[in-house]
Amino acid sequence: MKISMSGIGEKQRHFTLALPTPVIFNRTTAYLAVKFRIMKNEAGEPKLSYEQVCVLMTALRKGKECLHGLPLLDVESSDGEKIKIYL
Amino acid sequence: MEQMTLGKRIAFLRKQRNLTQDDLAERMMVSPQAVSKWENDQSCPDIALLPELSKALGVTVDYLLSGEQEPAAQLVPNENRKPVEQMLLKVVIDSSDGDRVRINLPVMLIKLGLEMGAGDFGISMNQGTLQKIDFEQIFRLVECGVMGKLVEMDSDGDHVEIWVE
Repeated sequence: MKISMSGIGEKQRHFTLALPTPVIFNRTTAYLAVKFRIMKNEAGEPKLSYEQVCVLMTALRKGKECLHGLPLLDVESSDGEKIKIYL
Repeated sequence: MEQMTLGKRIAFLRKQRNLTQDDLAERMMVSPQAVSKWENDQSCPDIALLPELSKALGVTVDYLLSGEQEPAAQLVPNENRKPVEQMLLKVVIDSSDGDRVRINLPVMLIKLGLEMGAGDFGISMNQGTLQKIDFEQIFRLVECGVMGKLVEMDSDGDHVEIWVE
């Protein structure tokens, strides 16, 4: 997974974070995501169960092959800031 | 348009977007003379420049090269259809304030989201001018074999397109 951010003019900066996709989308992340939701919504149950989030993580890993190098998200603001997220 | 050369097509599309040769050259980071040569068919743009050039002219690379517009949406017969696992849903948003958003979502992720009960993913911009896009309906269309541009809408200056490829 790669996240790259860049800006122009006064906001000129470049930031790239690249980590192996399985390091991001795995069972630990699923556990933390579910746990975080429980902490945020003490009164109610989380919308997704741990098992469902695990399935989602697997799908996100597989989704990388489907994208063939295209970014999952590509945002360019009117003031020249760019954010790209690749799986 | 079909009879036009690549150079004539570039010139036509450039003028259609009220761009001068200098504007296009600046955007493409080439000299105005290079643009002039493209338009007079004395040379061709480098292959690496085609994606950016097509973006600057507001068309697809296919259209730029062939002059043939793909039909907005088409029904693909079962035997020619890609498996859902290989399909991609592309969301193109050009907002009125100049922001550009491109989302490439594997269709299987949408399928999974729907199965998990996330009926609407909801895309909202500019204080919610664009309220909700029904991804369930879009997925039903995809299952029936409809491909290409499924949604094109303008709302308060925002332009949204949804493609399935």
